[in-house]
Amino acid sequence: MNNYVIAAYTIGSLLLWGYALSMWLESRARVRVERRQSHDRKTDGGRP
Amino acid sequence: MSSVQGRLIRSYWIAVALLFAADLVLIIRYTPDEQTMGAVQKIFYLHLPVAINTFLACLTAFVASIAYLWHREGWWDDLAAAAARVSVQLCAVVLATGMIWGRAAWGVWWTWSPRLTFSLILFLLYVVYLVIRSSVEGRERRAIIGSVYAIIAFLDVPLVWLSARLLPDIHPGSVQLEPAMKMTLLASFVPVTLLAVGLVVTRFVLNRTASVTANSVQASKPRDIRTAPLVTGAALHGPKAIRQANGAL
Repeated sequence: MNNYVIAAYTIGSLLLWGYALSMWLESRARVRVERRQSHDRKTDGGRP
Repeated sequence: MSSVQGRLIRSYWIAVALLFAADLVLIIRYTPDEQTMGAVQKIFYLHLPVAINTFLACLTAFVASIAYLWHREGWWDDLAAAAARVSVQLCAVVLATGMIWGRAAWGVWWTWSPRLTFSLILFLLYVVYLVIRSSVEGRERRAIIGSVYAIIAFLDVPLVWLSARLLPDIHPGSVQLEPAMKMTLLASFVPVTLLAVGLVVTRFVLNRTASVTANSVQASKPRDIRTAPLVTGAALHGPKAIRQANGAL
């Protein structure tokens, strides 16, 4: 396989799937924050 | 998000990844090489579908911006922002694959032909759209400025499309393909389009969640600036103290 073709498909795939991965990580981080906030609301921030 | 929704989303992305991998196998192993350019022409099966999806993403941003100015509903603005962000990503792929192909086929990384120039301008227009959005204060003001800008930025899309047809350009006006190549090209549109749709929808959901959170924070802000120190101080002592402070106002 031609090196130019390999380079084009590698860069193209990285740009597209890398962005998809970044959004997945962002959504996971948000879910974690929401879960922590809802936990804090239930326990009043861990205070007695 | 329910577990069923989560499972559906995961299945969608797995299906797109599998289709993408299958398309790569089809391109590399089963599609014949073009006679004059050889194997380098195989870049075309990624370049063209991504280019068409860039136009569709720009069109989505354009339509959503008009709809926002018409209806003034925040979710249209979130959709426009999502489509514009994805169009930047797609346009970067078009430019990168085009440059690599140009180096292999014409011996140069870049030439200032009309289509290449308009494509670079399109990329820069949508990058600037994102910069403008991040620099404008106030949700409604940002949405209005962004919408007007996105409508104007879209005017470059017909120029990219028509430039190779109406002006002397290094790109061919039309392409003749063998049946096997045509089939591969059509097959390549499926994973690339599904991927682009998935990216726009995911970005839209993330934008929407952020907007809803920002609106709820805005709604829970104290009504009078003089009361702000009381609530801010209460924030140091937890949600119960904030509720008590809000109740005391």
